[in-house]
Amino acid sequence: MNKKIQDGFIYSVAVILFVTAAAKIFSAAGTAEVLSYPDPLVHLPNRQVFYMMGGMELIISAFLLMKTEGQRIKLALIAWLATVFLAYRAGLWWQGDPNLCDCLGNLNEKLPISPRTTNCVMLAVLAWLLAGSYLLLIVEPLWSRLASRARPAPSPNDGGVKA
Amino acid sequence: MEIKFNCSNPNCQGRISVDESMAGRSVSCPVCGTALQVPTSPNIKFNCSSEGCGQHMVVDVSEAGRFVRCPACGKMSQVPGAPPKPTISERAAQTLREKPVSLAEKKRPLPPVLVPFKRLLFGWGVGAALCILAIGGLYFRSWAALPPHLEALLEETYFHGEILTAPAINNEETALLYVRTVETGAGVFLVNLATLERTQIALGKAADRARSGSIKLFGWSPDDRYLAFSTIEDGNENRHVVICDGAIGKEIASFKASQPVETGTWLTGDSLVVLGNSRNSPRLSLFNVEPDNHLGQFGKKGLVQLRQLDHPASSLLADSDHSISFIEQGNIWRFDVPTDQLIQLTHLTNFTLEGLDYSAAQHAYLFGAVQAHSRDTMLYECYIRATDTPPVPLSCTNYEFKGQWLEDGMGVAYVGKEGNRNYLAVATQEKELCTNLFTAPKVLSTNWGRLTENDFREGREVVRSFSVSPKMDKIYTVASVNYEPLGIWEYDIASHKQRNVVPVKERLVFSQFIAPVEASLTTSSGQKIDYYYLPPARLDRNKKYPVMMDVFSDLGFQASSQFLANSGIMFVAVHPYGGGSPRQPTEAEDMAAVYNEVLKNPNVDPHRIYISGESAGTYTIARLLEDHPDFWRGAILLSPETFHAMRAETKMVPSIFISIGTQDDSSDSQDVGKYALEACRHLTLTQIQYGNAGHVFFAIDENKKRYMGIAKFILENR
Repeated sequence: MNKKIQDGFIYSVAVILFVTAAAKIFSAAGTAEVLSYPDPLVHLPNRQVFYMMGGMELIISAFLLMKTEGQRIKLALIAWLATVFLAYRAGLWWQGDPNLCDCLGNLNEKLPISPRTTNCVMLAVLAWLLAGSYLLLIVEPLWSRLASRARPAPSPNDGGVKA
Repeated sequence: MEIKFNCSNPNCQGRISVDESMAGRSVSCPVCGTALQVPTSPNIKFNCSSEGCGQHMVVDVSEAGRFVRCPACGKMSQVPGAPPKPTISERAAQTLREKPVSLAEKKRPLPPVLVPFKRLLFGWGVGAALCILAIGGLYFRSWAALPPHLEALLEETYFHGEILTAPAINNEETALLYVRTVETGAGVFLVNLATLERTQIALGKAADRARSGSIKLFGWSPDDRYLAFSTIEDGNENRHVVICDGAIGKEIASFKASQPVETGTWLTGDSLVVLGNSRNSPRLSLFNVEPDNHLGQFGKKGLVQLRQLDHPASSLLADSDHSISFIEQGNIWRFDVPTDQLIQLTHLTNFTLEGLDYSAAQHAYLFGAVQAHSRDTMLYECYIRATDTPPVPLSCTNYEFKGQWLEDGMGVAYVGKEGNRNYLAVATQEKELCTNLFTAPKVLSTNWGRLTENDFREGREVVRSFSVSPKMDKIYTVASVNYEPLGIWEYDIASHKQRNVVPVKERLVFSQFIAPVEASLTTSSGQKIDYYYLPPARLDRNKKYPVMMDVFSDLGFQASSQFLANSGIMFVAVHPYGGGSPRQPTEAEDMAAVYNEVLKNPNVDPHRIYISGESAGTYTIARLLEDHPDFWRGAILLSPETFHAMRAETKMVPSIFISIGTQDDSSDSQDVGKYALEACRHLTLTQIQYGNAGHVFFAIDENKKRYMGIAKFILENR
């Protein structure tokens, strides 16, 4: 059961990362002047940041989908990525940016979707990545230990045992 | 009773159920076909695996593989045999065995290369499908929000363009030349006055700032062999002079003037004089299509420099076949070409002159003039043989601008002004021929709001400019009636007949001309504010519509506001219709007052009110966004000159649409980008649209893109 939850979570993250990576790469290929401005934290042009982040997300998405084994490594990778995203947002907030919607680049220009909605969706995604990865990383060992200690025993009548 | 047992094939281990009568007999596994022997007993016998126990236990065959608790020691022991699988009855198994397996039922395995990527491909496939679904959903939502035939509405409303200058008429009065905006700039059109057929003979670049600066018409040569005009070919200056065949408009010759062309006139059948104006060295030039000996040293073929002037000049005209007249420094000057003599005809002081005309029959000039410290412009006449005497003011009531001689100098036509309304005055010696044209009655408000007591400068009928034919018996007026686009109207003075020679009601299938509803309100301080609105086309009284409030007014019919109204957006301007000035946007307080008035309209969606403004109007918008950010669903900034200041604590709600020309020298595209980035950080949707234009978008194609963007921005509720 635990493995199924892990698998499901990792799968969902892989799909989400694919979608966000596609959005970033699509945005970076645009012509908006904003793309040439430096990122306030990384100090590289937004276009490069989008390409780099999009590429990285795509690679991680592929890694998460390639094999069914190595759940713990995958969860750790997701946790690391989510922490990086969180740190980036915290850094921008620290610098005085009240809100952010750079996560999807200038996609807002091309799609009829408000940055407020985009921001809410991306915050929800970040929460999903953070909570899911850390929870599963912490809970999984506890779960295994509990399961081995308190494996449910069948009742004596199970199977109609005759002496 | 049934005996249940598992297939002995380790790859199958199918659970088989057979009747007790089959005990000990051989059967084939219905799944894999392995030959099996049915156990003789339905029970499994085994001993407890716990050390020191060894309790003998008998369980049902169906318990094979399961853990059971030893009744003696209580420890768990596994029953020998494979774990149970779903049972298959012998009958069913028989059926299965007999049923041929089709090839199609067999799963085709993935190519070995793709096997490791199966999960990846599926996962990314799901991601791609989600992307497509999301994008498709969003685009569907947008598509559903837009009215049908939006493109057609755009094409129709912009089809007529805008007539930019007064027309020119040939000497035979059989053809007319006019300029109007076209898709990619400004076009010169030749009209056959007998058949009213129109042909576009040239295309010029749209001007950056002055509308009339795109193309300047010099009319026909005295023998109608040639016609000439100047255009902007490259850069932003009108220097490209074109000479065409007078009958068909085919280009014969062209040259680049050394200075931006102010105006030009035909001196003889082969010679065109061009007045070039630059701040430092205004200059008269002559272009001879053929050599002309009568012009002395200036008679050689091609472009000849005539004379450098001391000050910028205007209103050039030929008063004979060897001399020209023009206005310079508040006086009329005459230049005799063969003798190279420049004579000052009038000696006025403290006058500003405009719009010079000449009657060869009366040898008299006609011009408008305003004296220093006076507000009134008057029409004056001045005889060429008596230029030492002061010019005589004509008793032309309500003269506003542009006076021209009629009937060999026996009458005049001019644009007059009554109240705030312009009209065309025709004043002749014969009183029965005197008339005023394009004087629509006052329009009363039929909807919410009350009409102001003032009349409007331009309203239901608009006079933009006019020309008198060379024979001085007809007037060709650029005007509009019933709020329609500008057309050209021919008025025959003798017969009082007027006809539309450049029509405006063509190709209207999906769109309609929407008349403005004019109204006014009185503020608590007693101030009256005029405004008007264009209701959405085919207004449904039970529906609420988005609103675009503009800080400028339409100067007569404007395709942009008509398109917005046709696409279902109410257009509101806080000015009298046709009033206002491109340099004076509405005050923020007036906008706020009208905003509250607009909310009273039951067809207005209070959550979808947008504010719009161009150039200097963006100052008003910045103030309104600062003072009343909650009023607006969005702001539309056209060629912005300023932006709303966003601080860390600013909570921007309105969306921002910015349209800017790539050659705009007043708006900095870097500022636009920075503002957009800042707005984005405040979770404000910004949409930037770049146009191939300068500060003002004159070309129709760029305007169409701009207003299509605005319509979608509003209708998609961005």
